[in-house]
Amino acid sequence: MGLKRKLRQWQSAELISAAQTNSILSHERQGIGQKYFRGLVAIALLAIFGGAALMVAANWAHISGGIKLSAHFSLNAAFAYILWHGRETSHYWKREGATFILAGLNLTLIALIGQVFQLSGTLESALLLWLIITTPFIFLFGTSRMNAVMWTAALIITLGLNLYDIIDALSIPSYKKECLFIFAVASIPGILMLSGMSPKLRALRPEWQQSYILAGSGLIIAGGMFTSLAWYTDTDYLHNLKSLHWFPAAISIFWCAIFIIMRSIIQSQTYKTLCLLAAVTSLFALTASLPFRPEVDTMATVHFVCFMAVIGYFAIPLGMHGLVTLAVLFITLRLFIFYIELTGPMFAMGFGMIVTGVILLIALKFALKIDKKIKAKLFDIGA
Amino acid sequence: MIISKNKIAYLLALALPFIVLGYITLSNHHKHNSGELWHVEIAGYDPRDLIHGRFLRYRISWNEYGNVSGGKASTDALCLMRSAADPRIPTITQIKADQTRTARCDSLLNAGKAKDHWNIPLRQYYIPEEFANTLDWAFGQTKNKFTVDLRIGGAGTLSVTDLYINGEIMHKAMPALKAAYNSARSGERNKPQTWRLKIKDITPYYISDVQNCITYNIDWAHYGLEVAAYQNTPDLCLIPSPNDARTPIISIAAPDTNLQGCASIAESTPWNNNSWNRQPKTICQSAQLGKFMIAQSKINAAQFEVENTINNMGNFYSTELFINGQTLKDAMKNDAAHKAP
Repeated sequence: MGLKRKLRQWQSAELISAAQTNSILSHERQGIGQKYFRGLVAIALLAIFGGAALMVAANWAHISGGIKLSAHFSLNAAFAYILWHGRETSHYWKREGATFILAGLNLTLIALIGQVFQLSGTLESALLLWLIITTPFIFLFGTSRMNAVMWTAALIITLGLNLYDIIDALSIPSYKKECLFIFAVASIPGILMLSGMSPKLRALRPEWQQSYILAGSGLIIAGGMFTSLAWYTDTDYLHNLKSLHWFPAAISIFWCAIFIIMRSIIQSQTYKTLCLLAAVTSLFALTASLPFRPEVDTMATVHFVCFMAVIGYFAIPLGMHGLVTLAVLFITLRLFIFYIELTGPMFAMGFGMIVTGVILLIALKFALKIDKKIKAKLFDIGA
Repeated sequence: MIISKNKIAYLLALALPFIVLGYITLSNHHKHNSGELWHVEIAGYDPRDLIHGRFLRYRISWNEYGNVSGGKASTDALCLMRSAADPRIPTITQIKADQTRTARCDSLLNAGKAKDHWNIPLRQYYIPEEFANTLDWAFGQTKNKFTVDLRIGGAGTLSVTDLYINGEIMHKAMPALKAAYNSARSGERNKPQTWRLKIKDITPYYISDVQNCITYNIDWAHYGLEVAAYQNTPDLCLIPSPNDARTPIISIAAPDTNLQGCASIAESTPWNNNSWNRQPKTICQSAQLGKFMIAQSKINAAQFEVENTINNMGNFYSTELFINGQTLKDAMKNDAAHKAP
C-alpha cells in the first residue's frame, strides 16, 4: 500500500491530523533523492562484489589452498580493522556490521581450513570451534539486536548439534548418559531465561538480555508443547533409565522449584510472570514424565490443549495479545489432529477428505471468532 | 604509550580467532609436509551415496596391505613397514596397543575417536563441485584405481593429503576422466535401451489392501548364461535378436572384447554389488492390478517376462511386467472379459 493512501486512511480514521499528514509527506519527499542515490550505490557495490565472487567461484578448483587461505585471512584482518576503527570512532553501524560479518567470515575460514587440509570435520565441530573463538569479540563489540540474536541462535544450534556427542564421550553407563542428556536439554531454556533476567546483563547489553529472554521463553513454550508427545509412548521408556526412572520427573520438580524461588526474588512484574509461566510448564512436563501415569494416548491432546490454554492466559499479564492468537490457533489445530487420529482411515477416502477439509475451515473460522472475542474482552481491541 | 586494561581485553578478544585459526592452519600445514609419506588405496564408503554435498565419502582399504580388522571401537594399532617393491606402499600388521613401544615399524598408527586415527571408517575428501559427476561415475568403473597420499607423524595419527586416480593426481587426471565420462554418456551404445527378458522364481513378496509385490530372477539360463548366485559377475553385451528387436542375444563382455557391436552393456559395478545376478528384483502394483498379479504368479503355466531398461550407467531398471506375451493391464482385461457371463 502506498504511503499517501495509508496516510489518508489514518487521517479518515482520525488517527492523525491533516497537518501531520502533510508534515510526514514533506519529510518523506526530502529523503527521496538520497534514497535513490543509496539504491544505485548498493547496486554498484553488489555488481563489484558479485563479479568478484563469480570469478573466484569459477576458478575455485584451480586456486591453490595457500592462496585461498591467505586471501581469507587478509579479508578477516580487513574486517577486524574496520571493527576496531568503528569502535574507536564510535561508529555504531560500522562496529556492529563488521562484528556480524567478521563472525561469519570466521565460520567460512574454519570451513576453508577443513577443505584445504582435508580434515573431514563435521558441521557440529566447526560450529563449536566457531562459538568458542568468536564469543568474546561478539560479546564485547556487538551490542545490537542483530548480533545478539545471531549469537543466541548459534548457541542454541551448536548446543543442539553437539550436546549428544559431548555427553556420549563421557565414560559412564548409557542410562546415566541419557539422564544427563535429558537434564541438559531441559536446562537450556531455563538457564537462558534466568541469564536474561540478570540486572547486570541488562545494564551491560540490553539487546542480549532481550534476546536471551525471548529465546528462553520460546524454548520453554516449545518444550511444554513437545512434552505432550510423551503421552504417546508408554512408561517403559522411563524404565530404560533403570534406577533413575524417576529422574525426568525430578528434573521437572527441580526447575519448577527454581522458577518459584526466582519469582519471589525478582522485582520486575514481567519477569515474575515469566517465572510463573516456566514453573507451570515444568508442572505440565512433570505430569507426562511420572513413572506411574496412566498410558492413555488421548491425554496427549488434553495435555496440549490445557497447556496452550495456560499460555493464552499468561498473555494477559504479559500484555502480548499475539500469544492469545497463537494459543487459539494451536488448540484448533491440535483438536483437528485429534479428529484425524480418531477418523484416520476415513481421511484416506475422497469423501472423507472433503469432510475433513470442511471441518478444518469451520474450525478455523470458529477459532478466529473466539480469538477476536477473547482479545476484545481482555485487551479491549479488535471486537 | 599506555594502553588501558579495557583496551587489552578488546584486542585479545579480536585476536583470539586469528591466533586459534592461525595455529590450526600452521599445524596442519606442518602435518601435511612432514612425517612419513605413504600411498594407499581407497574405496567408496557407500556406493549409493558416494558424493555427499561436495565431499567424496570413502574408506581406506587397509585390508589390501595386511590382515586388518576392527572399527570405531578398536584399540589396536597398525604397524606399517615399507614394501620392497615400492617404498611408498605399506605392508601392515595389526598389533595390540601395549605392543607399540616394542614394535619395529616405519610408521605406527594409533586407534582413537578422531578422524586422524586409522580406525575411523568414514572419511571425506573435499572435491570441487565441477568434478562431482565425473568422480561419481569413475568410482563406479571397477577399472579405475583411487589412492590417497597419507602423512603419518610421530603422534601416530594420519593426515590425508592428495587424491590420485589411476596413479595421477586428481587435478591432472580429471580432463581425461571427464572426456571418458562425456563419451560414455553420449555414446550411441550407452543410450538407455529397453529389452524384454524371460524371468523365473516369481514369488509373492508383499501383500496388502493397497499394494502387492512379487520378486523374480532373470532367467539367465534361457540366454545361455550360467552364473551362480552371490558371485561377482562380468559385464554383459546385449544385441537385438533378428526375429524381435526387443528380445536380446546376450553374451559375456570379456575385458578384451570389442564392445562397439553391443547395443547395450549391462555393467557389474559397485552400484549393484558387482553383480547383475545378486538379489531377486521386485515389481509392485497397486489395487486390483496387484491382486491380479499375485493370482497369476501362482499359476505354474503362466509365462512371465519383464521389460528392463539398461541406462547409460549400465544399470537395470524394470519397467513393465508381461504375462503370456501381454502387458499386465491387458492380461487382466482379457481375463475379466473371459470370465464375464
